[in-house]
Amino acid sequence: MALQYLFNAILTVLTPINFLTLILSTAAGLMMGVLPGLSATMAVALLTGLTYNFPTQSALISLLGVYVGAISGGCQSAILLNIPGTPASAATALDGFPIAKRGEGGRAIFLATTSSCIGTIISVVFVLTLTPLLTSLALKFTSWEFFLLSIFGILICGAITAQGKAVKGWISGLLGILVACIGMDAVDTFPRFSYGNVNMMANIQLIPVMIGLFGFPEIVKSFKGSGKSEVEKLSPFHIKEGIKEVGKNLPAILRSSCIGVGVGIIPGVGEDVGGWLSYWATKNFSKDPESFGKGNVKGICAAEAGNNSCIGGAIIPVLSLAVPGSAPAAVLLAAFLMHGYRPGPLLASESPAFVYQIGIYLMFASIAMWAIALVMSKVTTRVLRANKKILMPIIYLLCVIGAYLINYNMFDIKVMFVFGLVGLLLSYMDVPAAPFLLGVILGPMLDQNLRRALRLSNGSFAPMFARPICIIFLVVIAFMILSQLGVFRAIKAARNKKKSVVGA
Amino acid sequence: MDNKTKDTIFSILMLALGAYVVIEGINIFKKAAQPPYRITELSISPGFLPIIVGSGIILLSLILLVRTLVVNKVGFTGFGKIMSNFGISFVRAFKDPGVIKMIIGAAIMAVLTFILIDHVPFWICGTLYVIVTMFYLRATSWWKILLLSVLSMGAIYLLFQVAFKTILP
Repeated sequence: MALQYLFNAILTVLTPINFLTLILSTAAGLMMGVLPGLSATMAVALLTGLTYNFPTQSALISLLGVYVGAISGGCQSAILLNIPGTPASAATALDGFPIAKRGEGGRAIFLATTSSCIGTIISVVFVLTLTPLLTSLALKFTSWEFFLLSIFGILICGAITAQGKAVKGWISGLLGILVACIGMDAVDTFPRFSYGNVNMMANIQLIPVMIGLFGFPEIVKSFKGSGKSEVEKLSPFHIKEGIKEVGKNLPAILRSSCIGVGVGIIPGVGEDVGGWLSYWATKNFSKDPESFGKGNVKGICAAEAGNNSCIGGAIIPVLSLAVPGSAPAAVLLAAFLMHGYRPGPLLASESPAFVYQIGIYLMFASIAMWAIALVMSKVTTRVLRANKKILMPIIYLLCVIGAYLINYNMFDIKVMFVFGLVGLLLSYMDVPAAPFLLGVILGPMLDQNLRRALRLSNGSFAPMFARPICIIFLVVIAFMILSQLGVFRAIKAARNKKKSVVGA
Repeated sequence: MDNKTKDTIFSILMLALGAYVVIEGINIFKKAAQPPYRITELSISPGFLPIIVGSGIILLSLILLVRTLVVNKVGFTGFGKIMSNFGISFVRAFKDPGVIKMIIGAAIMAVLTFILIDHVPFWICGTLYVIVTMFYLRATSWWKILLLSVLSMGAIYLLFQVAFKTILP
């Protein structure tokens, strides 16, 4: 029966109208992903309204095409402009931009796009086969685990991005959590740091903060230079060589895809964490971790495979529990409901073909994305190769629109500007902005789960130490903090000194 | 500005911010303890996380400050030197033509964001913003600036208002 569903889904996607829909929507998603400030969530949200009158299958194909395209497209501006098109591709910029600076932008984009495609296809395998098993694992997470997971994500991000000064990265993460505290708290609806401002009481929106932190500093900095030198080149390269290189990095891609799927399944933890965790794991497994951040291709492959495989991972809890794994998946859930599906435990009996359709549409979307992204990269480069003094004022207009469209609220445009200044200050002080953004994303999850857990335990932290998954998280967190603060190095040095004294 | 000065200034700024956040967190706790909320226990109070975050910022800033001063073997006089270095580089920055361009460019963006956008239709103020910024930065010839501004705003209008059927600011 499963084969029948798969075959039918393939036939559906190959009908001329659906195939055209797939190509157009994936291209639109890629464009949204490429343009800094236009996120995957926004792309899926914009399209959800447009697909209201579409035939159901065409609507599903277009939504998944846009989702895959937008997540993958972010890598192109991350590599060529050092501005991640979406938060998911922030980790890609770490190694992608240095490679582009060496004049190998084409190679970087090929590797990133191919890794994205492979990551998505691997996640499809998980969607089709492991949905029930992996969902049961995510179900074991309680408030304590979610709280520790948020801390873990921010600490990792801080340690990775601060280039040897993890403390600065962690401060940046704490600042992000602080921003997430602004407004009505979700547990008691108590206004915090809102100073009587109604807009601030409604919480600070993520997208304007993201656009401000990553887009604004690049725009303002471009005013300083000549406007022409900082645009990176898309070098000519042979696909054969690129495929060989992908083959060499296949272990990293496979590992990152598995990590991405795992992260995607956990509700609320999105593609950005998947990218960072995969990057971190690959860096740690690497024989030369020092080369990461300076243009190591493994970094790009890991980050892109990790964030794209999150797509499938994030859809797994949507299908089985009606709980979104990420922000775009939350919009996708609403779109499924709008088109008459009821994701959750009853989906398998009500629409048994649905999971197979989603899997096949995702796979075709990723293949379409690969082909379109490689063709489009030549146009992207031409657009981004333009004089920055011409390009950047126009990009600022897109940033303004991007900030505005989330809630159709003028206040969000002002928020984007203010966080742009914050981003500029952080950049000047050599403080990474990525942990700040992750703090804003994970802050609400951290706050709500901590307080919910404490409320259930009457203010006691003891239950946290009684849960095996929590203990694993605590040990890893403690190990990471101590290693980043140089405690192990100091102990080793003290031991060596003691040995040499005893030896003498 | 060198790394030593940057880290010192950043940690001092963060110490001040951390202290403010802790005080504000305590105020939130006190307010939440009153009616109608009556949350008297700190660990479940809305002020708990700000206090933790503020304390974390203070602790990490202290670590950064002490590390910067200890690693660079900076004494009390050295600390004074760092502060005076900061003052000098701050004043010097405002004489740099590149920095002035950045400030004026950001000011034009601020005018669009905080004043024009609330009173003038987006397609007018957006086009004006692009023209003024490109003229100020001397991006290209005047006729190209005018053409590019109108074309870019037209493309934005077509994409968002016509294709995506969204409402522009």
